[in-house]
Amino acid sequence: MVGAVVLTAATALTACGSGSGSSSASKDAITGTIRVSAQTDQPYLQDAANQFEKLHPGTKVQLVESPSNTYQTTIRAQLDAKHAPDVMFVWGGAGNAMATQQLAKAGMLADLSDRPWVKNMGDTANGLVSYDNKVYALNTYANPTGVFYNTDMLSKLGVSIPKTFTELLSFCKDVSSKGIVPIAMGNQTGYLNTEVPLELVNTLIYSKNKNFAADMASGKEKWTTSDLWKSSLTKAHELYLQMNDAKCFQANSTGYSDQQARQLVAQEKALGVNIISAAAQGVQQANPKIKYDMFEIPATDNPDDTILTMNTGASYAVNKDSTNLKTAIAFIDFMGEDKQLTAASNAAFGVPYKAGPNTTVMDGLKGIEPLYKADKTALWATNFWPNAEVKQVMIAQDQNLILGKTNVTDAVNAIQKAFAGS
Amino acid sequence: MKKYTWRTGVLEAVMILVTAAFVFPLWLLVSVGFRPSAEVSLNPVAPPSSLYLENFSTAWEEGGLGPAFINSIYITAISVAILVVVGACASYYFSRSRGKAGLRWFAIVAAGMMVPFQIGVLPLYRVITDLGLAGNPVSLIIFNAGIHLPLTVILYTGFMRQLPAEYEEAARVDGASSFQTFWRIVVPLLLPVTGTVIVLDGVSIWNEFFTPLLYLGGTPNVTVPVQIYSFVGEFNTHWGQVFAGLLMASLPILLLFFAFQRYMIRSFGSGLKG
Amino acid sequence: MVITTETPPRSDTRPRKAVRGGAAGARIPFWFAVPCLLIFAGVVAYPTLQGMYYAFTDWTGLGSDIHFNGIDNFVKLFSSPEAPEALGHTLLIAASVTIIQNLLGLLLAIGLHSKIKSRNVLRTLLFAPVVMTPVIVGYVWQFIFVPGGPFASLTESLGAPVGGLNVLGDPAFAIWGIITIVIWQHAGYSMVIFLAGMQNVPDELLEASALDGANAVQRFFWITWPLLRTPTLINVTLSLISSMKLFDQVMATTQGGPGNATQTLSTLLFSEAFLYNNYGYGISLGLIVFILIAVISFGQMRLFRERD
Repeated sequence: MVGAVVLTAATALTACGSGSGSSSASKDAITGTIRVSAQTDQPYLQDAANQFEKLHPGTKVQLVESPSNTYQTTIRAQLDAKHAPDVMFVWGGAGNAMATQQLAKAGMLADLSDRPWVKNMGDTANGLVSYDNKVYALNTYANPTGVFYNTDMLSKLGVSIPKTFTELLSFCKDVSSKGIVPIAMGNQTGYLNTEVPLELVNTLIYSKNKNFAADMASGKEKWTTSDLWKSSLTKAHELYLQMNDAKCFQANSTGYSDQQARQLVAQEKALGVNIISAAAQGVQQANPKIKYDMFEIPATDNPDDTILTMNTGASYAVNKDSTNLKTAIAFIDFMGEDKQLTAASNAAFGVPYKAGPNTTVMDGLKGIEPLYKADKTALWATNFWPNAEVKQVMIAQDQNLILGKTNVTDAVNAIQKAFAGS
Repeated sequence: MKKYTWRTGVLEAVMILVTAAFVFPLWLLVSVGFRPSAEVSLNPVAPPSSLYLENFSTAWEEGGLGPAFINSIYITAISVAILVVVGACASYYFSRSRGKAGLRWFAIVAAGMMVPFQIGVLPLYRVITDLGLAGNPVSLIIFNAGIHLPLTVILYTGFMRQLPAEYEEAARVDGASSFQTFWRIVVPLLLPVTGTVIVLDGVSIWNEFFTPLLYLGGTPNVTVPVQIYSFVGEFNTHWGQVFAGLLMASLPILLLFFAFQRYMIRSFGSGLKG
Repeated sequence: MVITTETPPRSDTRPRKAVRGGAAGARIPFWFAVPCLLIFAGVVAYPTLQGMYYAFTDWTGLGSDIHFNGIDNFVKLFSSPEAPEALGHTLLIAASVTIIQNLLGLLLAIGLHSKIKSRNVLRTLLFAPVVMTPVIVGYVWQFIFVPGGPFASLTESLGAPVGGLNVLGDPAFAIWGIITIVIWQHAGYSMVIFLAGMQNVPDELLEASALDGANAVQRFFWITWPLLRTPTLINVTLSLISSMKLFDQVMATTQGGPGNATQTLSTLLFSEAFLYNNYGYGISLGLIVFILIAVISFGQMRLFRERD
C-alpha cells in the first residue's frame, strides 16, 4: 500500500493521467462518455458506436474487446472493484460467470423491462435475460448452428442433403468412401465438441415436447429428474457414436481445433463443417470460390421432427452503477431498433430471434430458412443450465466418448451428476 | 581457447544445425505474417509466395499499433528502470548484511514468485481503483515494479553472492561509505546480471496481456499485446495481422537482447580486470 | 559436483564463493532494502494475503454475499476427482519441464559460450521463442501437431501407424505435447541465465588448466560446473515455479482436454474462480499451488546447500 503511494508520487510527474470511465455528464442528458466492453468478434458494435456518436453529438463510446476467457475475467474484476463498463456484453441464461441471470442475481445490472424494444423480442429471447420477471439485457441476434457445406462438392459427389438420421448415416458412408470428410469437427475446442450431441438432443426433445424450455423455466421439469431429458441425452450420444462409426467425422478429430476443422472445408478436404454460423465468414474468406449452404443434422427418421438449434449471439446489459446511466440506456435502445438489429444479425452471419414477415435469411444460410421461418427452432440446452460446470463435464465426457475412453451410460451419468452438484 | 580451431568449426556447424531445427516453428510464424489470411487458411505451413506486406500496414494502421508502441515502450522502460534500481539496492543488503536478517527478508520477497497471480488480482485491482489510478499507465508501472521484484531480487542476490567481497572490503578500508562502495565497486560488477534482469523483466512486461487489459482497457494508454489481441476473434481470427503485429512487437525486444548480450560479455571482463 | 574437491584452482584470484556478512557486511544499512520491501508489501504481500482469505469462504466472486466456511473448500478439493488428477498432471509437467528444459538450456549455453563466430546471432534466435506470447506459440504448435501436419508425417515415416501421432488429440500424448511446447519456448530463458553465469568463469583459469592438459570435458566439470551452482539453482527454481503455475500454453492449445488429460491446477483454478462462480474454491486451489511450490523449492534449496 505505502509502496504503491510512494511510487505513484514518484512517477506521477511523467505520467499522462487520463482518467477513464464516464465523464461528469449531467444525469438527464444523452452526452458524455460511456465505456462498452464486449468479447471479440462483434463486427457490428463499432458501427453502432459510430452511428450513435453521430446521432448524439457530445457522446463518446469507448469500445474494449477481448477474447472470451479474458473478457469474463476482466469484467468480473471490474464489477468487484466498482469500475465496470457502462454497457457490457453478456450471455443469456445462467451458464457462465458473465451470464445475465448470474449478474442480475448479484444485483449488478439495471432493469430494462420498460424499454421500447422489450415487447418486440419474443418470449424466448427475453426469457434468457430475465430474472425475477424483469428483463436485464437486449438480445441482438441468434446464430443458427448446423453443417456449413460446399454446395458444388455436394452435387459433384452425387449425394443429397440427409433428411432423416438413416439418410445421414448413408450420406456419411457415401461421402467418406470417396475420400472426403463428410462433416469436419474441431473436437479439440471445448465449446464445439458438444455441438453435435446437443443439436441431436434438441430434435429428440422438442419433437416430443415443444414447451420443454418453458417447462424447465417454470419448474415443471427439472434437469436432474426429467426422464425426457435424460433419455434424449442418452439417445443423442448413442447417435453421435453411430455417426462417428459411419465416418461422419474425420479420423483423430480430437486433434483438430475449431479453426483447423474449418480449414478442411476451405481446402476442399471436407464437404462440410459443423459450426455456429458466426464462424461462417471465416470459412468463406478462406476460400471465396466455394458456394456454401447450411443444413441441420436430423436425429430421427421423421423429417418433420428436425429442430434448428440456435446459438444466442451478443446480448448487452447496462451496469446498474453506471455514472452515465441515461446515455448507456440510450445506447442499448439505439441497438434495439429494428434497423440496427437487422444490421447486427447480418454482420454476425445470424438471424433476428423472431422471424418477421420481411425477415430475409442471408445467402449461405438458405438451407435452414424453412425451419427458421416455421419457428422450428430451439436454443442450446446450455443456455438453460444452472451452472457452467455441466458444460465443462460434458466437453470432457464427449471427447472421451469419441476416443473410446468411456461409454454412453457413464458419460450421461457424469453429466447428470454435474447437474445435481449445483 | 583464443584461437578458432577445427574443433570450434565443428561446434559451430553443430550449433547452427541445432538452432535451425529449433527455429522451425519461428519460421512458420514469420511466414504466416507475410501471407494473406485466406492463403494461410488454405495451407498454414507453406512458405510465402510473394513479399506480401499488407498485414503489417493493416495491423499498424487499423490496429493502432503506433500509439500502443509508445505506451509499451514508456511503461516497460520506467518499470524496468525501477526494478533495476530498487532490486539491485535491496539485493546488496540481502546478500551482504551481517547475520540472518538479509537472508530472511530475501526469502520473503523471493517467495512472492511462488504465489499464483490469480490470488491477488481482485484485491490489488480494488486498491488501484480506490487510488483513482484505473486507466492510468502509472497503475501498470506500479504493478510491474511489484510483481517482477521477486525475480529481479533472486537474480541480483544470486549473482552478488558469487561476487568476491574483497574489493568492497578494500574500499571500506579506504574509508568509503556504504553507498560509495555500492556505487563504485559493486554496481560496475553487476552489469552482466543487469543485462539479464533487463532482458528477462523487459520481456515479461512487454508481453503482459491480462493486466494491461484490465487496468488500461478502453483508454488510449493500452499496450501492444492488448491491441494485437483485438485481432484474435472468438470465431474468426485474422492470423496474418496477428502474426505481423507480433513480429513487429517482438523485434524491439530481440534487438534489445542482441545488443545487451554482446555488451554483457565485454563489460564484465573489463569491469573485473580494470 | 563431487569432483569439486579434486580441483585446486591454480590461480586463486577469485574465491569460488563470496563470504556472506564479514567485514563488508557489517555496516550495510537497512534502507537499501526499504523501497523494495515497501513496493513488495503493497503490490504482492497485501493483495495476496487479502486474496487468500477467500479460500476459506463460499464467495462466488460477485456481490457482498460472503460466508466464512472454514476448510470446506479444501475438503471438496481433495474429495473431488478433478483436483487430484490436475495435481498429478501439474507435477508431471513440472518435473519433466524442469529437468529437460535446464539440460537443454545448459547444453545450448555451453555450445554458445565459445569462440564460434555466429554465437551472437544464434543466441538471439534461440532466445526468440521466449519473446513470443504463449497464445501465438500455441497456435503455431497446433499446426505442427495437427493430424496430417508436419509432426504427424514425421512420426508416420518413422513407423507410427497411418496418419502419424495425434499428439494433442490423444490423452496419452497430449500432456507431452504441452511439455514440448513449454520447453521449446523456455529453453532459451534457461540458456541466458546459464550464459550469464558462465561470464563468472575466469578465462585465465580455463587457459591454465588447458595448458595442464585438461580436455574440454574435464575443464567443464572441474572449473565451469562448480561455478554454475547459482545459475543452476536459479534456473531450476524458476522453471519449477513457472511450470507449476502453467496456464497459458494449455489454454491456447488443448484447454485441458482431451477429456481432462491436460488439466492443470492453474487451469482448474482459473475456471473455478472466474468462469464457474466458485471464486472461493478456485482460490483454495491457488493456495495449494502456493504451498506445493514453497515446499518443493525449499526442499530443493536445502539439497543445493547441503552439497555446498
